[in-house]
Amino acid sequence: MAGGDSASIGTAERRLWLVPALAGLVVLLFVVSLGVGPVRLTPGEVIAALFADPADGARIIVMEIRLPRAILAVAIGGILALGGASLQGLLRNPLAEPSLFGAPQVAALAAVTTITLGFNDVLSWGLPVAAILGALNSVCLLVAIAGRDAGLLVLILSGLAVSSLAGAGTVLAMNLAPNPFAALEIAFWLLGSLEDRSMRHVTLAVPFILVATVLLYRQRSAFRALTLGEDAAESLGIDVARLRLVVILGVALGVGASVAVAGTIGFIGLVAPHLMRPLVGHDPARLIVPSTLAGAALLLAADIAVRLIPATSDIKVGVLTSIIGVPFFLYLIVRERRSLAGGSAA
Amino acid sequence: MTSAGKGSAILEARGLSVSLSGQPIVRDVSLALPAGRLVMLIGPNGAGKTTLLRALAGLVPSTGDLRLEGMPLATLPRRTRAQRLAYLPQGHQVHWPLPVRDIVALGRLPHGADDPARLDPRDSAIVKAAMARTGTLDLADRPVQQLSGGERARVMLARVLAVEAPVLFADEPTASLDPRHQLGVMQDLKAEAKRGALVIAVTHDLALAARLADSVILMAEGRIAAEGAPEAVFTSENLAQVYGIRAIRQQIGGETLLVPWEALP
Repeated sequence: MAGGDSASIGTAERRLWLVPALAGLVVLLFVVSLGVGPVRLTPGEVIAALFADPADGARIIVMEIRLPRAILAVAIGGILALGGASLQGLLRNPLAEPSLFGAPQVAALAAVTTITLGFNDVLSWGLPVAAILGALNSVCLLVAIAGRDAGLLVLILSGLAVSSLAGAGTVLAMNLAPNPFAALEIAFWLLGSLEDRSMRHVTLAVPFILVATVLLYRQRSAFRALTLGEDAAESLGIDVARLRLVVILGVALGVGASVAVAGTIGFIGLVAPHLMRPLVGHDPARLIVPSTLAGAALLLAADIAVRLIPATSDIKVGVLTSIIGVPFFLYLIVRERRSLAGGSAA
Repeated sequence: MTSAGKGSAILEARGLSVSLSGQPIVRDVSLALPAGRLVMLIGPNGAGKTTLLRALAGLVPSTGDLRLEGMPLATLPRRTRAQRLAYLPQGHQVHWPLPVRDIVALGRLPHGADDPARLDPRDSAIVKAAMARTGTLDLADRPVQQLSGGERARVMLARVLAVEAPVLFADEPTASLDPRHQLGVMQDLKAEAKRGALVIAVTHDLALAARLADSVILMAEGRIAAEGAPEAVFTSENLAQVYGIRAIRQQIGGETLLVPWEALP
């Protein structure tokens, strides 16, 4: 790592290598992801397969089975991390993460409900729309509860309530499921996974994710101004009310679209920004791009890992991110304990 | 920067009222404040000082007529407003440990400098000058979270000075500072007024207000109880009526020494 504390006055030293390095890592993991599975392909073979003739076996495996999966990992990992970093910037709180506030859970509930009621099948456009509306509800609720200056404790407790309620709703839908097969399908939403996704899934999710990415990316400097609090940001020309709406919308679009095709995958939005924050001098604006790339790399890596871990049945990637993410969350709570205690008064 | 001209009021309010969740906080306030002055806004807790300040800065909706350089504030584009009015909130909070230089550079945001790592030479010079005036140049690379309360107050002051706005609002800029930093911050604000800005500061420090203010606005229960030069406002009757205190007053070399002495029964 290049010198950390030796930043000089003037245009302070920035880690210019960070974004190219992360982008390179994403590309590398992407190619590895195309090669990992029951049929192992070396990166060279993967690239050869991409340009092989359409009937080639390796090409079919790469293009039809692994490419959609890898694209979704990049898009979903990226948007979940971007959503987390944006929500953290808006609420000025490193623990703000969509999955802690029940956004994916509510999105999953909305998706499951529309399927159970027969409004949608698993591949229709109605599904991402329902999931997005579900996520929108929960994020709105969260930001409304958080208000101007809610402490961490209020945020976490209300998030717990929302996600418990959504979880209960989803389990209810499973209880009422007409047959075990339908119940199994619903369980899928609780365990996020990227297995067996097709290009159809990519077209269902990626447009929404792209819109969300653009919306959130453009708010960078507003997040930096919010470092000084809402009044100061407003006095610097930031429309804080509008910013709040845009972030809610962007997070809901991103989380909803992700859940619609991959189920609930949590904690990317917590872990990726946290890892990047020290590398960008804790600047919430400079955090945005590295977090997005780190999120894409993390989900790609997790999705490669579930294919490599020897197990009798498949491990779901959503389970893996939670197994890593929850202890991480606990560690952050321990670190933030002081402000948690102080925040209860807010 | 100040283009008001004619010595007329740069900031003018007529019949300004503010209600927060149905409660009237500021009632029917009228003011006309010229450029180049340090105006201290004083009054007991709950008198509506902060709310009036936020309303004048356009941060909270108000009724009545509010004009900046003759233009109704509400009709000004957000960006113009941000360039013309700088606001220093109470408490000097900073939520992320950014380096001092980046915090001060936020003052250039209304002028289009949205990346502190890439300031153009003019913005960079203004940021440096603001830091020099507040004595914070040698803190440039320190994360704000590591600073003492006094240092942090100076940095936040540098941030608002960097806006180079003709009107500057400061909400209790000296609260919880040691005497040296209290004097330093107030003298910096006074210097900013001397450079031609209208500076409006909320304070509880009657001694500094009596000594340094060009004019004083005394608020009580949402209204202006008295306004004018310090000696006209700090009368025994006003202090007794509004604050319920008796103060000791003395002239020292042409300056007024005012010390709150005892609470009246």
